[in-house]
Amino acid sequence: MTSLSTNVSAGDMMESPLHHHADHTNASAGGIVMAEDKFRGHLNLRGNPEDNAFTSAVESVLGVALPLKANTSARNGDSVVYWLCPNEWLLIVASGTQGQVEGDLRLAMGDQHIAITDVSSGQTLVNLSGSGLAQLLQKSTVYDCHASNFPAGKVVQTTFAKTGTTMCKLEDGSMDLVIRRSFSDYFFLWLQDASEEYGLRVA
Amino acid sequence: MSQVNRLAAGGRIDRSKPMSFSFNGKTFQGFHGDTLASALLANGVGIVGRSFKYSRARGILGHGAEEPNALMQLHQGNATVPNPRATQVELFDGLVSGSTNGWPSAEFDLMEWVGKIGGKLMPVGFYYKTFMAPQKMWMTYEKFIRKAAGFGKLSLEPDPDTYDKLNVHCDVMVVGAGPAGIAAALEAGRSGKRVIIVDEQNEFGGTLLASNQTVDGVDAAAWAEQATTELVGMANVTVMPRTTAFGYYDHNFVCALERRTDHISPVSVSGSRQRLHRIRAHQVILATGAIERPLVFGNNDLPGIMLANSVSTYINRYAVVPGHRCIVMTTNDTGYQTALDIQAAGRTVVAVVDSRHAPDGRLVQAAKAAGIEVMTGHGVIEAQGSKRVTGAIVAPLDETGDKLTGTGKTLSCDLIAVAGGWSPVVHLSCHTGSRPVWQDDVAGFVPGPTIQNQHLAGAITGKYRLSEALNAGIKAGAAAAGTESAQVFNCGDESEGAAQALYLVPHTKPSSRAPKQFVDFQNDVTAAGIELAAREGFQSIEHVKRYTAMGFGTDQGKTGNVNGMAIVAKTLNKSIAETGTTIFRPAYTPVTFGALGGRDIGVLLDPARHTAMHPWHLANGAAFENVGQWKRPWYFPQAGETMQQTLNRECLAVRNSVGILDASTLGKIDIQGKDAREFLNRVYTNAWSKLAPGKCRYGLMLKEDGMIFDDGVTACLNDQHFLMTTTSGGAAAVLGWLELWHQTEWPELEVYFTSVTDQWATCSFAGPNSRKVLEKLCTDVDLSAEAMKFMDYREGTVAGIQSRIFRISFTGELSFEVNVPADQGHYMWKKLMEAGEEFGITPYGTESMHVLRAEKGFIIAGQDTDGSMTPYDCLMGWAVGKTKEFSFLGERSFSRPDTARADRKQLVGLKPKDPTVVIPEGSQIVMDPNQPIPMDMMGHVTSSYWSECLGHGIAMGTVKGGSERMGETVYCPQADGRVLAAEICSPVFYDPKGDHHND
Repeated sequence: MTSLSTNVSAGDMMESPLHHHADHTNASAGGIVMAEDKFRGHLNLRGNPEDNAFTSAVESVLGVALPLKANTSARNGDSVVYWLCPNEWLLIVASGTQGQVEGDLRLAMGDQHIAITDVSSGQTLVNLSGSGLAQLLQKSTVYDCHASNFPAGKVVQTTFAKTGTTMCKLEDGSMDLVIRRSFSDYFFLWLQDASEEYGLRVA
Repeated sequence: MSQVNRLAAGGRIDRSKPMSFSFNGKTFQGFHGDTLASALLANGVGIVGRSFKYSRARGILGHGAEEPNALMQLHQGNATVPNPRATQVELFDGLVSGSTNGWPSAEFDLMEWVGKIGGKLMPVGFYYKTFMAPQKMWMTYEKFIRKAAGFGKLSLEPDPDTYDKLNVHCDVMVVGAGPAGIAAALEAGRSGKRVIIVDEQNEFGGTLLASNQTVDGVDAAAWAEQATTELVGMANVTVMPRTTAFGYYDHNFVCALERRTDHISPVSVSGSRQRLHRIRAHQVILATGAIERPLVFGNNDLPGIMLANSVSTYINRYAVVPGHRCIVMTTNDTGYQTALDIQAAGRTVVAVVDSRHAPDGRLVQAAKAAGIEVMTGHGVIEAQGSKRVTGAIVAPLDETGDKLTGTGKTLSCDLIAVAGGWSPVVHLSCHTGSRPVWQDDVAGFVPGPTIQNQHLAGAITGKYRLSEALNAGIKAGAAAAGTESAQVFNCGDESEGAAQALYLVPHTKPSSRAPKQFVDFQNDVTAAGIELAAREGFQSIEHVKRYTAMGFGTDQGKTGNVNGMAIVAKTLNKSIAETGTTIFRPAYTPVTFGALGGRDIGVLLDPARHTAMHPWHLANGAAFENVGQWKRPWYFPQAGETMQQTLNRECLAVRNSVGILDASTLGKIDIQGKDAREFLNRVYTNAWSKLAPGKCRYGLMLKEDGMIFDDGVTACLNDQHFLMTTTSGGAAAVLGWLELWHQTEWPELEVYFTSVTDQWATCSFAGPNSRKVLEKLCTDVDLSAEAMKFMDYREGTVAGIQSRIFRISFTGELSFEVNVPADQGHYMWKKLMEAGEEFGITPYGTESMHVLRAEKGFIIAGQDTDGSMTPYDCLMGWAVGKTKEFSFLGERSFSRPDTARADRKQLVGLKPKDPTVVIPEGSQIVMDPNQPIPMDMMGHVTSSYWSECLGHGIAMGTVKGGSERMGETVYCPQADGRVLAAEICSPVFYDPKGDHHND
């Protein structure tokens, strides 16, 4: 199977989902800082976690063991793997390398029953941080993001206002969110509104 | 105006911060720390409104959520707020308030005369008896009744405030910050658990704030302050005053309304006015306290008759004595405390009238020692006065309080403080479905068994002494937090006498003849009304409630319910336990709609999904249509065009040259695995076994009942990799459907599904020149008619971008779809527009798409089908595989007699007899327009358009047995009297042989 991943990176050809909000600033306060980590490679991976050949093949390519425990993640430098469900993971890799990673994975898997799907354009990675973050998340998601329930490295798929997100807490307490492209304008409208009392800076 | 009832010292008001406010147009002074009610009482204002049904003058009865009378209209213009209780409104400088009813004023009310005369014509159940027939008049009656009765009014302007919501999580939630709640929160907080404690008042303490008692030797109010300071200091404890827990739902989900700025100004200056907290708690402690009951006696609703505990609260907390000559009517020891408070405030206690014959508690002794006249074995049977109580008729009662044993005498007074016992606040405990249980020793209902992780503490359990409340709080806090504590509080309140259970004080006349004895003040329900309801056969308390309106409205029966149930029980000769109680629903007190809406309003009401090309559509003046949550370009009007002119131009461009459509919203599902093909065989009606790589096929998906559910084109990328498309609105449902069948029925099939709807941007361009446009941008794929046939798929480079190219058509013209990763979608669209410029490439929207496909007779699942149509009903038997090895979903249902009927409604083409006519969509179809009504309906029009390219209107519709009726004439009678005739024909109006798309 061949991959059709993006191999064009000329600036004017590519628009990230949140590109047109990049100039938004209310820097006077900045209780919330939003940074879009755009054009990252996003690969959706499906396979059988009980098959040792599968898990070891993934590990050999990614350099990190596939997280098998619910709602966990594994990180290797800039790459991260999110557990999504018992046979589904999201791989987020360096921008432009997703085609290479997909190829390597397919090579390592041989004819195993797997699926790898490039979804890099269909979603984007957003980091939220700042002094108002805890309350902003309380406004936006029903999930309990308190440190006692949501330690660094945990991955949760839940609602963000009326859209969905996959969230991962980072060591610095900030939150990475995966947002679907078609909902990104709604996401930003909500973010702008909910952060009004803290100030919003787009980094 | 001076504050005639204000004490010179004491209370929790700040005399250094005077505040000016208005009530019914008059200006008054109060202090910071006052409620509107305490400030009105301080100024000697007696009448605060008129009653609902009889328009009787009403004053302030209570001091908190229980207040039934003092409903206010606050603020002006678009900031106006209807119906808050004056007892719960914090005073601020400049507050404008008024009564919610009374005409021309609450002080002088003409409706009272209507009420006096009309009251006799308005017995209990009068809505049902008088106004329900004739039914068509109900709307008229209702308008009159609402106007005559009415409470507050809403502004018709948009609310200037914002409201928001927080999702909150905790280990222990404490509802109520009286003594029990504070003690519980202290204990749970000290354990380190995440604790939230809410209280509806502006400061924590509850009854402690108006108490003369001590806690371990510390003045009660001071203890409350110390304890609150400790709670605030705990990082793990969230302290929320001005927050009402109004609803308690399954799984310990509690909704609480925080009033953030209501105490500062009419409209919030910054931030939200109110915030809804959606709290999920592992453990809930209800410490909601108890509400004092009034007693039911003649004219017991006169201004100047108040709850005894409220009188004490006004004196001790607000430094306001609401009368000069006071009678205390009590059935228990707590009334004596009020007598002592009144006396200490320097006003006269005419007498304590106690229904008990031999009371002997600590407070009784204290009152006697203070020289207060105590009349035991007596009751106030009737109050006198018109706009204010001026006296009370006091008469001797027998031991049970059921009968008078002598004649009464009249005592003059201007205040009657009534202590009729206590009703635990069981409202929240009821919300989760727990039915409260009657306890004789409490003389009240207490929370029943529950399946929630719920704990109770304090007066809600019928334990009313302060030390009991505090100690129960510690226990509940420990139980909720999983700790142990031996802490015991000492308040020196051990010796209190037993209370008497008395509800309706007998009168010399029966209830029906005695002056009105009110049970529910807000709904004007009387003892006589309840007795009448019982006599008329209403035995269930639920029926009595609905017949009399007892416990309705914002009041929720807080003061009246138990008295009413006692009267029903007595009339029916049952016990209260046998009669039972109605239960309460959320909300405990009214909640602003704004808070329930939160920020989900305006553009945030529902997410708008946008494609990568959306900025181009906006810049080029598209009108948008909602398709699911997507905003799709509907049409692209140019200056001066009507919508129809735009559609004509767009459609002709496609038919004659080339048009371009943003088709990114179509659902796309990536399917991988060696059994992908077999899976498609099972979920689609047609065969997929032989679809070669590089080929596409249209498929129909059915539900098990054989009815069309979704449709779309699926491409074979390679033997183990397919790309399925779905309708824009059906994408999520289809993915769910595939997963359902895979996971539950066919887990052995090796196949995976992944949504790629958002991954790919799709530019669909159609028309005789579409190939030429693509050829300019794509050089590595042979696009010739011979090399790339209709329904072929290729991968190639378009405008420098690796693309998926499909030669498929929803217009009937030569047509291509180029899919690129959405990051490059906008760029690709612009490159196609550039390349197409020489051909006059015309962007078109969903409306032209609908016209173009209807000209070809292509269905839109969900418009031409409605979940009740099989492929055969749509004359699409060609899309059903007859020789498939494995059955497919829905096939079995084809043989059901109803599905196999010949006269089912079938989708046919309809050609209007008058070529200029476009039959309205939804029109009913009949065979004989002259038959009498109700006519025999044959079907309806599902799609109808003007076809510029054909020069006449076209339509599709369902007709019973339509496939056998080709050439017959049908009629569509219209609401305006016209009857539109049409001929049944093939739905393929344009290019029936398909030459164009095969070009």
